Amino acid sequence: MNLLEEFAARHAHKKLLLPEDVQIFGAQIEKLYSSTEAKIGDRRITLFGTNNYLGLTFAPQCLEAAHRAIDEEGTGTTGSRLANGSYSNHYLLEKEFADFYRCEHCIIFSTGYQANLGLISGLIDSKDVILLDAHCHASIYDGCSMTGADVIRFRHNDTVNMEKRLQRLGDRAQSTLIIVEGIYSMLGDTAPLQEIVRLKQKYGATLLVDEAHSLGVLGETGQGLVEQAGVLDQVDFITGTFSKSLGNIGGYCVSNHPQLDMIRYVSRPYIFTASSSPATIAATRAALVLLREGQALRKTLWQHSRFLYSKLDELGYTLGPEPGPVIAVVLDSHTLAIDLWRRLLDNGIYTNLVLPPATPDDKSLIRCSISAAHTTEQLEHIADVFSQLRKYVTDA
Amino acid sequence: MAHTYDQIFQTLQGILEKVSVRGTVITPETGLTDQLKMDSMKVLDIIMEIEDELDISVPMNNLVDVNTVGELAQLLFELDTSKS
Ligand SMILES: Cc1ncc(COP(=O)(O)O)c(C=O)c1O
Repeated sequence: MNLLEEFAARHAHKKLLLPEDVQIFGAQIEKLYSSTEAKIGDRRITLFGTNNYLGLTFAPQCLEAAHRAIDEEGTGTTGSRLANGSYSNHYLLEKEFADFYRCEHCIIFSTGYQANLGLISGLIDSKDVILLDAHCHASIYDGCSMTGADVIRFRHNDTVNMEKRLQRLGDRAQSTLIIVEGIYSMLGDTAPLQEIVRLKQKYGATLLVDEAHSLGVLGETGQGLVEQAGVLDQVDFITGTFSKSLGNIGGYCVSNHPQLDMIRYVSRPYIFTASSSPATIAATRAALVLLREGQALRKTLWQHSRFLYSKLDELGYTLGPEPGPVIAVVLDSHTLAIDLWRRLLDNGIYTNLVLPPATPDDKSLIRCSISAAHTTEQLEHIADVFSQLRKYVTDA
Repeated sequence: MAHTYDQIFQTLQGILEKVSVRGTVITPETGLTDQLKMDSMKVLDIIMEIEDELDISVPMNNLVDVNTVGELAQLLFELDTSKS
């Protein structure tokens, strides 16, 4: 077999999984009506798979800022910040993120994926150790594999299991980076952060929290789980993304450690890629203002999330462990998950279908993400449809 | 207390038999991904179970050259004997 035949053979089973008549992954969206509605095929579909938690993708302030930036600074930066220089708005956004987190330092990256890659691969040496929650996002796993360090997983949200691994490390615990997430992307549950902070201090380790799904969602000002748990000052590094609650694209890392600034000179995912476009930076700056002042949006988001979670729970679906803007319906078989996903789409609802190995414990998920911008009618509609479809789910 | 290679292989065999199609015979030559059809995450989850049984930590980066059950047992044996 040549290289391409080997590739095809390796992935043949994946094709078998998927029906040929509908595009399950990467659906083609013809037109957007709003942050919660789009035309897919020839139908108007309600979007419950966007991560657009605050619904800011069409916020007039963000649109206006983006339009102005395009007119003034053009469509792209055409290169890396280290080589081509940084526009002052890139630095201003960093300053605003640092200010938001009451931290000394911030670096922004072109995506959240690259923020994790860039921080982890820049900071960690092959002699160090990384201890990560088993449910961490692929960007964290990929960052870890770039380091050559010893990478050890602990059971999801199990601090006893985590402490055992810290104990076994002995003196090496002090050269260990612990990595957890604020809200986990697949099941939507939160990390037991106070206990994790206690353990990291007890063993002298360093802690990174990825707030990708919790930025704008948790805490009075939307800093994320660090704010809700009251441990901002005790966390060493925070990463996150502009691609969810900020309705944009890009990533950030904030810290009080001066070492963060050095990452700019040693981190390949920062150095060897183009910086974010002027429109992206301008819209993100505007969105960050809305996010910081977004108590009303957060309140609405949580009302919506609790509503759908309790409806699905009452219907007897197996869900992630706690209510939140990521609501995962957990299914034992991928055929059932694909079937349910299709029926939801047939009823005008777009959700995220997630299959192993991207999911924990070999399960399949229908992942619904909730937005402050959903209307009561849209929420009642999805609850109704799930109620009608309950009969097809025999193993829930 | 460190375990012998045979003890470790048997522990591994027990766990793998539980998660494989009924009647699967697990030998040191059995391939983890090609024969047992486990994806990378499943292999990692199984390792987490063994870590607790043997009280060792298995760094993911040590698994790069592990393809068969025997190779995994050998790695676990080495980590187990080198623990202080
Ligand atoms: C936990 C977590 N970290 C990082 C990312 C990557 O973010 P981005 O979409 O900005 O690359 C995601 C996005 O899916 C995520 O869920």
